[in-house]
Amino acid sequence: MNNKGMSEIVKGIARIVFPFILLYGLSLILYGHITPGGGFSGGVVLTGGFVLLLLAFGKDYVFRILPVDIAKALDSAGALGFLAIALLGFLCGSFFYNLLPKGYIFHLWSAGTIILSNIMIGLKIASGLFVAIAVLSMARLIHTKEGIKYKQSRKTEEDQ
Amino acid sequence: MTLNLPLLVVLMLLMTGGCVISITARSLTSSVVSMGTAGLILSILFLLLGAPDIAIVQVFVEIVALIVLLSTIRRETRADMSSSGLYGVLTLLIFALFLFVFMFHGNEIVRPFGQPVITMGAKYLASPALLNAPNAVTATVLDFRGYDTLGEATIIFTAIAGVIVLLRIKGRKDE
Repeated sequence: MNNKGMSEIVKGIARIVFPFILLYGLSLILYGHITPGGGFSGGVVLTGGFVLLLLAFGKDYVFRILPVDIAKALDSAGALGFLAIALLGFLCGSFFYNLLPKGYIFHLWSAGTIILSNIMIGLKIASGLFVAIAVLSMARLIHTKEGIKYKQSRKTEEDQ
Repeated sequence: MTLNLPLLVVLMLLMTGGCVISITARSLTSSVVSMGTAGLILSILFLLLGAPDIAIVQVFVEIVALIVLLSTIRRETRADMSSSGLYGVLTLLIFALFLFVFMFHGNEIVRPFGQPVITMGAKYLASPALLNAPNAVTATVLDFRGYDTLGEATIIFTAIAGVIVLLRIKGRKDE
């Protein structure tokens, strides 16, 4: 565990910075309807935090925090949740109807379904991009005499 | 805006035909070319239905996809794609003819400056007052044009599913 990933300095910095990156991503998502930001950008920032951990600590550490299968499930859950919010509008007549109370301007719980949509999109983008990068990080192209072969390894031990 | 319904129906039938041919065609090259035809007709449909921005995006995406797919087919299968010089010259001449016609009569097709086809922008910009959401961009993207955002989410979902399928372990034959 100790000799995997990058050097101790990188690991220490990543350990300190990671919660702040998550916090920034969450604030981008939650305040998307008040300040610049939203589900897409906040989700990408969240993925960036996990990619930092992936680069600094190696695959095993990150997959223990967020397993790929759970990330796949979260990806589908975010997409289905966004669709559910859209379908919820049929209760009041039309697709994507904003049926929740609008609240007061500059309050967190305002603007009806927009904040829920932002949360669902953020979940979807963050876990989906994480899955894509994780799957790409497990892929290996092996150059042999017959040509280039493809191999995928779930564990770091198989890489050597 | 008046819609020419028979023209739309004919274009839609042509597009469906292109899609069916691209699925059923024996040769990869003709399948890609008929997919490009379907995309071109789709962009014309967007233009006729009053969505010029999406039509432009569609044309660009279609051209890039066509180039990528054709170059991939050429690399992987060594298909013969050499054409006689006459075809190239003819295509260039037809394209130049269209370009010149558009350049000389374009001001009759395109609306004058300041009078756009779509006048929804003012309604979008009134969103902070309607929804109590100060960020008008998010209000537009997630409320008024939520259907577009659903499409974007679907695109990302499909792309990630494609990555997972292409880089899978289980069920690969070549190992």
